[in-house]
Amino acid sequence: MGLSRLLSIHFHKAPALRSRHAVDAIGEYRIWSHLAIRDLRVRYSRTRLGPWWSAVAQGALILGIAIATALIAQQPVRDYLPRIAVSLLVWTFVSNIFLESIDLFTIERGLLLNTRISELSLAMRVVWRQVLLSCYNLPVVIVCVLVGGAAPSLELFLLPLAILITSIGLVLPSFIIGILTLFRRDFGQLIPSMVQLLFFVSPVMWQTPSTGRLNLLSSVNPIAWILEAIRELVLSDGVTPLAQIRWLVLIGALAFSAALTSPVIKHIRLRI
Amino acid sequence: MTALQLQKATVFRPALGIPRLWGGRSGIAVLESLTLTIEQGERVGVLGRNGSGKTTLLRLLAGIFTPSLGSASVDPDTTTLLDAGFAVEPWLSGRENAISRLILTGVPRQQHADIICDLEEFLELGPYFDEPTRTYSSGMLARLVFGMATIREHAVLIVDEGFGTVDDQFQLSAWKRLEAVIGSTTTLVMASHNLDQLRKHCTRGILLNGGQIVIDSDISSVIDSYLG
Repeated sequence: MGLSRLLSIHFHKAPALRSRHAVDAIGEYRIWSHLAIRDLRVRYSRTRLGPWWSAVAQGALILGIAIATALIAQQPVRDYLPRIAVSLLVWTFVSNIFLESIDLFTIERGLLLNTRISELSLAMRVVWRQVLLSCYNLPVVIVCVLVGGAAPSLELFLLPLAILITSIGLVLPSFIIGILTLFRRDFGQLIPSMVQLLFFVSPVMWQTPSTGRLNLLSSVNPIAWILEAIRELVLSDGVTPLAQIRWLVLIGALAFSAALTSPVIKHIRLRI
Repeated sequence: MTALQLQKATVFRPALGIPRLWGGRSGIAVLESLTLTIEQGERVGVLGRNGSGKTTLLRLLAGIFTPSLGSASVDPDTTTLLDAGFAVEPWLSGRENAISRLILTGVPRQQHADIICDLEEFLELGPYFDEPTRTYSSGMLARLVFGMATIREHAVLIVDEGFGTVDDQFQLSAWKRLEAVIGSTTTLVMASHNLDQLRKHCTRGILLNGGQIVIDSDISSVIDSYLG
């Protein structure tokens, strides 16, 4: 099967931006927040630590990578802890949303075929689940930042806003991944590899140099924008004008994607 | 007053892949250009052979499916008894699953305690109601899903064929409950192969064939045509 067939999308008429789906999904906050909490209860049922296992895993990963990086660079571990902790928190949040969106619609077939739940609510559930898990991971990251000696700035208070914008922004990619994998199962095989690739091309483990190819790579990678913006906030470098422009570009891109995906929504249930 | 209305509603099941998602006409037509009005208080039986489009019509009338072409107008109080066992989580107890179902179907929180109390009494599961549903026998699970599906009152009710299949011991009380639910609803749309049930509960009948309404008349005439 050729790539052209894989991506064969025919436009019959210009799609219109319909806000109804978003409004419906926001109105269903009780449902998607309940589903997210239920997911976590089920995932960690019969475990002693419950969702705190996520924090333990995150802490072990941060420590392991920080030690490995410090050994390679022959520098103290403390120097690397804050940066790696914040980077991995953001990366875990983003990558888990991408990976868990693969079966966004198929996993809740019964719900979609028996209730009028908005399709977008299922994407909100995935994002909210990750927001909740990040809340468990956050204390580990705070400890790492403090141990590393990074001085928090006043701009740290913008962090909840940045996380909110990122979360809202990730609802749509989650939704798009769900649609793609629903209509073409091939994408379900591709996405885990793409996420892995994204890890290496995003400045999670490495720092963006001021010039060169890596700088070019980061400047066109939205994940790098999110990573750098949140790192800037937490690690007291301040938000640069470039980061502000990137956030605006991201918001614009999301609005455009919303306009494109909106007409597809009515086909989702019928495809299931 | 109109409860449910379809205007030249066509439903295509999208073909494999992503082609023509932005266009209306793509895939296989499951229902074709249906125009139908159901007034409040009407009790409609839907008949048709397997694959004639009955379940799709019910989902369209319930507002679960959106027509690919045409329009559908649905009473917001419409509820369904289609697939009783949806969203049952084996790692949660019967009680937790029942509360979850109430949240998912939009029942106000203030009513939860009374409904759960009533359900616990009806199910007769004893201490198992607080055990994870993965420990239930198939009969106990059938009771739970039936009880959860018939948990609330319905203004406009849509019932699919095969709903309410439970074990022999529970059959009588299940039927009584289902009959009570169907009897108390104002507007009813019901698909079934059980002709006695349709005669008992419905006054109007619709016969579907190949995704189109062949006959729309009183239930006796429609049943006669279906059998003939």
